[in-house]
Amino acid sequence: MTPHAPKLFALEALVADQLSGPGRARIERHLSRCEACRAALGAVREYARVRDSARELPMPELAWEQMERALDRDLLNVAERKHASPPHAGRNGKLLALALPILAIAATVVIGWVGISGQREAAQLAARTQTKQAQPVTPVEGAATGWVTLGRLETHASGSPVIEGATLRTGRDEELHVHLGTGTGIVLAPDSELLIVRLTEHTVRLSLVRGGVSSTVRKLAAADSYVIEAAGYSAEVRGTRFFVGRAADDVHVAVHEGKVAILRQGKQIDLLTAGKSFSTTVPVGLKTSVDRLVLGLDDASHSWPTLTLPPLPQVSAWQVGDARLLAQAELSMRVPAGDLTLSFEDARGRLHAFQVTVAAEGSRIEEATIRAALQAEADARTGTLAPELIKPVIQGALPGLRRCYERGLRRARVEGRLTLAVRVAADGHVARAQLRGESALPVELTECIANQARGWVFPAPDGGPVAFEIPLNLKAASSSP
Amino acid sequence: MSEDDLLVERAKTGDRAAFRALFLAHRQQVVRLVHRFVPAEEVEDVAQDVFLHVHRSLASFRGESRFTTWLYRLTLNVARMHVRKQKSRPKLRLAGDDEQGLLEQPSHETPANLADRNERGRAFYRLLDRLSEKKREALVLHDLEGVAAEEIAKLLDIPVMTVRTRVFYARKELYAALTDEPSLAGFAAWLTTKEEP
Repeated sequence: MTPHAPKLFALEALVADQLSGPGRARIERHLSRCEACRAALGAVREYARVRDSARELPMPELAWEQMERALDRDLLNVAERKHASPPHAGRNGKLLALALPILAIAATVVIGWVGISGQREAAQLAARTQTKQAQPVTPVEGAATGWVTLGRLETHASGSPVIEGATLRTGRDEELHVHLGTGTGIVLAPDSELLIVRLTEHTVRLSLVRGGVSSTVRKLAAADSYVIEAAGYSAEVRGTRFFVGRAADDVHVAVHEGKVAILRQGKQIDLLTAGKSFSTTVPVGLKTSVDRLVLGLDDASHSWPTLTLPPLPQVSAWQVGDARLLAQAELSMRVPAGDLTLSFEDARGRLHAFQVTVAAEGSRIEEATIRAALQAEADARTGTLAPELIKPVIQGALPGLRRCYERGLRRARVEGRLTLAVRVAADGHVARAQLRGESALPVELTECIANQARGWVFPAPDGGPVAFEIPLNLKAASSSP
Repeated sequence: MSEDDLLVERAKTGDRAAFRALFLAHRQQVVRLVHRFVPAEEVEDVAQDVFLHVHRSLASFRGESRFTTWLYRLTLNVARMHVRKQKSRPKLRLAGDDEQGLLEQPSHETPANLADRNERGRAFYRLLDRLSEKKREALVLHDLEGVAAEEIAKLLDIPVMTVRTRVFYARKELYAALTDEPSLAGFAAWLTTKEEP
């Protein structure tokens, strides 16, 4: 029979078992006579197998916590870019008039919320911001932004951690007192999460992810707004004390002073006065801690020493108890003198902890301290694995390594010394394997050997992961590598 | 209105819980699709980038297509841009770098079997690298993701017939390439000798 181009569609249908009985029989009859078609069928079957293997490759897991930190950073970057953009020169008076409040907003965001009320002060701050954007930000004396109650430890944070894009969280037995400006603040109830969506001189927009938040809001001007969003509802206020709670999609709002408008998709659906409340349903436990006053709202003085956390390249956020503070600017907080455990997140969102001793006159965390903490962590992770436990695993793996070598020989003649660097995880599995040679090696060989090594299982090392190197001597004439 | 649509509407208002629900519902699809195009060690970063783009662009999603279609298109765009950027950048890659941690996944299989199957899977990706961007996208969506040709046509904004043609020619190239790929050689033998418990 004259060779012809195999009909791939038909062969694919055969492999996928999509043919009727007669159709299948017809193709099988043809296959018995056509060598080219049989070879093509082999390739189609091979393709189906490797495709299925590719489908089943394990995928990395993307964690929400890491995603959320990236979102927070992104929101912060967007806010900073937006506020850092200088007004375009040479525009008319109207644009200039618009630019002044924008600059004022930029100033308040960069140096923290200080409750500036005068236009003149805002303009002065704007000018300072323009010239000092790249400088570390010094907290303004008395610009209290947070009291974090952590069991017996009361931490007073000042500076600019509470800025747009930040997420505030509390644990089960904690509450967070945050000053947003003169006469305005919130108490985040235990086990709650709140996103600072907008925080400018005239606008506060908070998004309650879960839990509850009590607000005390100073009397606002007509152009000011203070809004808390939760599950598609918005609570807008004018000088009041009120509470918003959320459990999944259920929302509860209770007003203690003043008035609160409840909006849904931009439309007002209720107007609450003192003593009134609004609930989509009444979830169990949602109405607890409905009336909380913000601690120290009018009192920023404190006698504890100051702990200063400068912006450091290794740190993206500080963690004090359950309060997460973005390390975008220098932070100062008042803490009791003595030993304190601090945690920080690196750029990849990994959490590291270390101990500091806060002196009576105050302390500052330097980069060297962070480096030492990271080094101590790395040292602590190194375990041990006795050579007599390594050897049997390598000996058992020699046939696989030989196969790799023989396969590599089909490509090029390879001889010489190689080093296989292996890192064994705490459970004995190989976490990493890399092959190094004195000269360039065929990629098929290096990958094959490294892949083999990744399948090895050693006894679990003592005290954590361990790394070692295995010398391999490749000789074509010999039967062993 | 679908559950996705409701979540999207809420996420548009800054509702973080709604965005979290969207993320949890679709992260695996996104990671899987990204994994088809970028090296394993870059998958997490690129998938995270996809969701950052989603977060930034949700306001522009008008609901004219399904959310998943929009998400797939955005994922493809982000992965495509990443691959192009990486190609234009000189890079030193060490053998074995790309699979760190994969074998630490819990599995009922023996490590040797798993390693062999992983090797085949990775070899398949090496073959995919030989395809043009257009053919690779069509093939990945159709053969690996199981997306229907009509849906792919909408995603890539091309006629359905073009999708079928690209998949056909992509497979044809891979059939030919299979015989050249050393890691894939002798699978018949592998099947009879290695799949024993």
